[in-house]
Amino acid sequence: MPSKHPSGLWHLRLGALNLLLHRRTWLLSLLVLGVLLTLMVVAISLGSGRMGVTDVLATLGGQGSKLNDIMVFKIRMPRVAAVVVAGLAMGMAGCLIQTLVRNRLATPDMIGVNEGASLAVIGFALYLTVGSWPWWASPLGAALAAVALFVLCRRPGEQGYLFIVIGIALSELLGAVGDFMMATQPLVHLGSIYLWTMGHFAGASYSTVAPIALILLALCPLLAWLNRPLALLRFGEATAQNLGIKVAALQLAVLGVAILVAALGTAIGGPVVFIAMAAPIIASWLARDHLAPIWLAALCGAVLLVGSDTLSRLLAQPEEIPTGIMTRLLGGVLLLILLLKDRKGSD
Amino acid sequence: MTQISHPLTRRQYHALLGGCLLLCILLVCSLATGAGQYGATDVFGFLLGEPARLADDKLAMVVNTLRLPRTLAALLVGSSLALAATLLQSATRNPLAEPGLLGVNAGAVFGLVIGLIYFGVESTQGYLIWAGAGALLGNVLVLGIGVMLGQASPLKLILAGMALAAVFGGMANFLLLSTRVALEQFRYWNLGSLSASELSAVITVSPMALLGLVLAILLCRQLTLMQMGDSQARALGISTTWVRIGVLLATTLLTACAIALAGPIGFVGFLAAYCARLLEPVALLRQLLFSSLFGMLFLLAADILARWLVQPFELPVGTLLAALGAPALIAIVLRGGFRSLLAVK
Repeated sequence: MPSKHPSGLWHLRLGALNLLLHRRTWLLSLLVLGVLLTLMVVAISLGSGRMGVTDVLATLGGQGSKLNDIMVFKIRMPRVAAVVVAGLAMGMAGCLIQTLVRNRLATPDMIGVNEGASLAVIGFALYLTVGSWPWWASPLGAALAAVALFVLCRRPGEQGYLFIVIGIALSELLGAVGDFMMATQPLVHLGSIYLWTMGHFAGASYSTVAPIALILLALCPLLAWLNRPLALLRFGEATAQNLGIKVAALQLAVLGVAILVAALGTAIGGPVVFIAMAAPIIASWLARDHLAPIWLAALCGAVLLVGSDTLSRLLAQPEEIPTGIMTRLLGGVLLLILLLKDRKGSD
Repeated sequence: MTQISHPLTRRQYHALLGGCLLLCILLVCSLATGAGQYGATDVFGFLLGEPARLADDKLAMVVNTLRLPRTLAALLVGSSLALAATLLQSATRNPLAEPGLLGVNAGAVFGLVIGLIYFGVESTQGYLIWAGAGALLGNVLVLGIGVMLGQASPLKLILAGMALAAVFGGMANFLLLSTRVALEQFRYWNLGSLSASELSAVITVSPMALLGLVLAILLCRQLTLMQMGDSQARALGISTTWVRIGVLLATTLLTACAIALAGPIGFVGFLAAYCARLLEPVALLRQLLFSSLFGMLFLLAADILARWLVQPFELPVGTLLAALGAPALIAIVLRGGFRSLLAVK
């Protein structure tokens, strides 16, 4: 087979279908996936009531004791699954919006989309639904927040830090409205919701995670299809237009998907901040490319969130600390570093 | 110095007069609203020493332990935060600066949490010391970052302040939640509220706030001249480093007083200082006057609203101010109004 494709790529041929795969990115993705799986096993093995990693593996293989079965499948697995799904969604959404607006800081957690989603969930949980967790309300709030933001900032791609500051002010506002709602309720109802608003996965169950994971899975083909035109979009709208891309339609589609994914990610464990910002940045640093593929960003998001969740569980034993507090701490440091590195650029 | 000592313009005069009048009205409202069915006549009769009212124990309790401390605390906290914001704005030449947005409030809360958990602080003096230490840390960090970022980027400094606030807030919450301090107790305080104000606390804190005010007034002239640029100011014989250190101390003191009394309250300083700057763009002394007046007005009004809006519950006043202040921040940033204020007039 004559190799006419550039170096660093793999050429797959399936009948009439030709695929060029970027070798480095694929190897990296596999590596990050490996890290994620290892972290998951470690996360399952840690907690009150210790289990060795070998026990976990045996239990997962179906040869565990009854006690270990319960611990792994009933207690620890749901939480780890929730964290992974939320992390994947956050990484994905962050990558999409960052690429769309061409601003590294523009991620759903910074610009108020996550706060909008959690506000809707709080509103439904406090006033409208009884018993079940209204995760399905989150896209509604996220979409409203995004519409408000884009009405305020007509051309977010050209406004740099301005867009971010407005987004942060919007999240402050939405957060205040959420506090407002919670302040009118007796404290008995609030314990878990209050922790959830800081980003908390302790109460996560399959009944929330499973439908969200299914929706994300259903979106995957769409994302794979969007990946390439999205990569072209970073050359600028005019160039992309000349390359035959319907820019406005693409932007709208990407924005819609991003908001949906961000909202679903928020619905599981609450508005965990900074993961959506950090994941694509780390992914593109790993890929040595300004634009990381969506799945690599998603995997990085999952790794980061599982790491933060495990860390916050370990450090705070025997108490439960909301994961969002840990990510806030780590992400704040990252944001400071980014701002200081970008010293020369003005607003 | 002719520019600084020119007489009040008509607009400033009206604003001053109207502000004072409104403050009096709000004071009456603040003393007259709240749980317990006592109106303005009862409360003022009590304060003026009418024997019939003095005999009413319940009224005495309501006024002495609930409404009066709360009103005084609102005045003190509002003016402290506004003064700190004005000083920070002029020292960083950034019209968006204020203790809340720059992470100084979060630093003070972090200091306070350290004091609470590791040193078992329970007195107002202790709160003040630990909040002051934390505020100093936050202040030094954010001003250092500001120097590193340069003055061309007011929005970046705000973002850095928010990042700092996230780090401090993360650490404070982490410590609190991992050491079994009651969630209910801290939750309310952490949002910023005046409901737990005590007269003794107000009295303990006020000398420190006064010290901050005196320091601010002493620094006025130098800071005003520094608006023309550091080299100009140095040519006029001003030691810019010492002025900056003075500003650091004054803002730390003022912020610590506010935090020790009411918890972190954001946006009030920013709003007050912004309005003051619109009224008087140059002379800092006058800006300080207006900003502290507006700060008192805003906080008092917000506190009255917080008590009145969701009866029989009560809103944390910090939440209410964030809900009012965030749209104002959006409007100001969008209009680019802050850029025109950057220019030296």
